[in-house]
Amino acid sequence: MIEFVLVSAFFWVPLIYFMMTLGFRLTRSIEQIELVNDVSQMFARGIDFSAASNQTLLTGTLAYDFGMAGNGGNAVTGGSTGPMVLVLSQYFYVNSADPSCNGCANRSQTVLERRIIIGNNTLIGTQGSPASVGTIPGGTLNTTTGTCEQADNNLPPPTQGTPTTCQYTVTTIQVGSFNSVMTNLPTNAGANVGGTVFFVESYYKDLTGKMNYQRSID
Amino acid sequence: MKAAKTRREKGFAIVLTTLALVSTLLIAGLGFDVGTLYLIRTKLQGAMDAAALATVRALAQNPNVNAAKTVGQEFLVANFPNGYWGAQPLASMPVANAITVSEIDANGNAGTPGTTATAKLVTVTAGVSAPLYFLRILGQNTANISFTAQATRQGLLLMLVLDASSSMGAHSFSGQTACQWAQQDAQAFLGYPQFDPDIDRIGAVSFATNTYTSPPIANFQSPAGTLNTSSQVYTDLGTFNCPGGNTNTSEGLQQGYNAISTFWAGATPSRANVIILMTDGAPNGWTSNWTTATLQAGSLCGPPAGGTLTGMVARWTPTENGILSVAAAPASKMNMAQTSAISTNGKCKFTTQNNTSYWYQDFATVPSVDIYGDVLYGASTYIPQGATTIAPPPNSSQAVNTAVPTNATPSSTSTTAPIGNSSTTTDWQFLDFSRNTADETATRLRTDATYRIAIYCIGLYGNVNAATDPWDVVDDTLLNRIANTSASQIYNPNQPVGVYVTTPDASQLSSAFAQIASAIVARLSK
Repeated sequence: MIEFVLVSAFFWVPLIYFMMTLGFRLTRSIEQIELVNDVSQMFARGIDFSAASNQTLLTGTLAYDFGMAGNGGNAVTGGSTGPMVLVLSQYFYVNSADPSCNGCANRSQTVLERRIIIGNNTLIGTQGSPASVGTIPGGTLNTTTGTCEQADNNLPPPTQGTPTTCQYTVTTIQVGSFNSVMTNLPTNAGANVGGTVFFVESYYKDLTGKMNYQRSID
Repeated sequence: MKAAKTRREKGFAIVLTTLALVSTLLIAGLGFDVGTLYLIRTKLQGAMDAAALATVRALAQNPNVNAAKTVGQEFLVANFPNGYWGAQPLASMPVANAITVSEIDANGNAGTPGTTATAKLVTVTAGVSAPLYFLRILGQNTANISFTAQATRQGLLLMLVLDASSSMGAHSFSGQTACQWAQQDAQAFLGYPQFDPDIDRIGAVSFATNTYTSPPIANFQSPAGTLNTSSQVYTDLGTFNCPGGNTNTSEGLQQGYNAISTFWAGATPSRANVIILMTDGAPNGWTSNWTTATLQAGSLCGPPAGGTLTGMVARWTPTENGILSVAAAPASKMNMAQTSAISTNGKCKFTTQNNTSYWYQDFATVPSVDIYGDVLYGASTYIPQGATTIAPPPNSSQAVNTAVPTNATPSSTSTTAPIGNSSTTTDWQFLDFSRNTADETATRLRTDATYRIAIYCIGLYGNVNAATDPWDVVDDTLLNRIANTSASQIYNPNQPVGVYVTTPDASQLSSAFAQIASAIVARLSK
C-alpha cells in the first residue's frame, strides 16, 4: 500500500496531470489555430467584425469553447474580461504610384488602416506575447468601424467635410516596424496583394494561466 | 499463511508500475506525437490556404505569374515559419516549387489563354517532415505531412458605361473637358494591371440621349500587362465625344446588359459580369414606345405608317423649348453628335419648336413603363423626395403649367424643390421618371438570375453647378441604390454588391477608376 501511494503520488498523478495538461493545451492550440485561420479569411473576404451581430457570432459560436467575452458595448476597442482577445488588423501599403496618393504623406509606407479588438484587451502583449503592431490615434479612430478617418474638406458639396479614410494622409498610423515583425514577409508585401494584408492575432490565457498566442496572415 | 501473503504482495506496485510504464509511455507518446502532428497539420493547412489566396490576390493585381508565385511562397512561409514545432520542408517538395498557376475553362478543364480560359487556378502543394519524440522507440523518427490547396481568380466580363451627355463637354479641368478626361482615363483603364486578357473581357458603352456599344474583347492588352492601342475597344473609346444630349442612364445600363447577354449567347456565364457606370449628373432621359395614335395634333412625330414609335426621350432644352425628342444614331462610334436635326430624316420631334402647349400635350402620352418594362411612375421604387408615389403625367385637357421651363427655373409654380411630384410640374416629373426608370433598370440587372450583374458607380462632380442646377447634379442616393452598396436605401446583400465612388472633378477621374478596378478584382478571388 505504501509503495502504491508513493508511486501514485510521485509518478502516476504527475504523469496523468502532465498528460492531461499537455493534451488540453494541444487541443486548445489546434482550436486556436483554426479560429485565427477562419477569422482571418473571413476578415480578408470582407466580413465586417465591427458589427455587433458578427461579434456575437464570433464569441457565441466560433470561439465559444474559449469562454470568450464580448466587447461590452465597445464596438472596436474590446472589453476587459474573459480569457481571450482577438485583434484584427488591416495593414495597407501605400504605393507611390497609387493615383489616390499623388505624392501623399504616407507614400511608400505601410500603415495600419483598420483595427478591431474583440474580447479582453488587457491580455494583449502580456506574459511575453508580442504586442500588435501599430496604433490608430484616438482622434482619427472611427470607434464604430475601427478605421482611421478624418474630415475631408477637399470633397465637393454636399459631401464636403465628410470623414474619409486617412491611410494616405495621417503619418501617425505608419508602422515602420511592420517588416521587422513580419520577418518572413518581404518588404512592402502588401503592395503585391492589392495593397492590403489582413492580420488576425489571438491571445488566450488557458486554465493553467499560461498565455497562448497564434496569428494568421492573409 | 499471513506472512506468505505479505511476501507475495511486497513490491507489487513497483512491478505493476514497471510493467505499465512501457505501455503507458507508448500510449502517452502516441498521444503527444499524434497531437503535435495534428497541430502541425492544422497550421500547415491554414498556411497553404493563405498562400493560395495570396497568390490569387496577387494575380488579381498583376497577371505576372512568377511575381504572384513569389508572393504566395512568402505568405506560406510567413504563416508556417521554418522549424515550426521542429517541422522542416520535405526535400521532395521545396517551397520554391510549391505553387503552380494554370488556366481552366468553364468546365474546369485546361483552357487556352485568350479564348477558352475563364479562370486561373492556383494550386499549392507542400509538405513537411515533422519530428516524432516518443515514437522513436518504435524506430520512427519523423512523419511526413503534405497537402494540396487550391484557389481561383475568376475571369471578368466588364462593360464600361460612360456618360457622354452635354455637361461632360461643358467645363474644363486642368485644360481638358470632362469628356476628354473620361476618354483618356477609360483608355488607360484598359491597361490596368488588375485586368488579365488571358481570362478577362472588356467592352464599353457611351450614352447620352442615345448610345453606342463597343463589344467586349480579349485583346485590350497584348501581351498581358501592355495596353493594346490597336484593340477595337481602345480605338472606339478614342472617338468618345460629348457634343450634346441628355443623360439616358437607364438606356446606358440596358446596353451594357445587352452586350453581356450577347457575349454569352445563351451559354451559362463562367465569368463575373460587371458594369461600371460613370456619370456626371442625374438621369434626364429614357426610352419608350409611344403609340402614335395618341400623339397630339401638330406633332411632327411618328412614322407615317403609324404604329408604335420607339425612341429615346430627351428633356426640354433651353433652345428648343418643350421638346420631347427621339435621338438619331451617333454620327460615328462613340461620338454622340447627331447626324442631322432632330425633326427630319425619320427622327422625331413631338412638337413644334417654341410651342410649349404641345410639350405638355405630348407629355400626357408618356407610357407608364419604358421600352424594357421598367415603370416610370405610380407606386415607384425610387422617389427622390421621399413621397410614396410619382404622379402620372397630366392628361392633355388638364390645366397644366404652361410656363416655358428653363434650366434655371424648372417650374413657375415652385422653385423651392428641384425634384418634385407635383402633377403640374411636368419637367420635374420628367426627371422623376428618368431617375426611377434608371433605378428600376439597375435592380432588374442585379436580380437577373442568369447574369447576376454587379454594378459599380462613379459619380463625377464638378460639371453641373449644384447651386443653380441642383436637379441635374449627381444623385448620390440613386447611384448608391444602383450599385447596391451598404448605404443604399434598398441594400440587399443577396444581390451583387457594388461600390460607389465620387470624384470632385474630372481631372481626378483616374483615381476613381483605380479604386473601382481594385474593388472589382478583389472579389474575384475564391
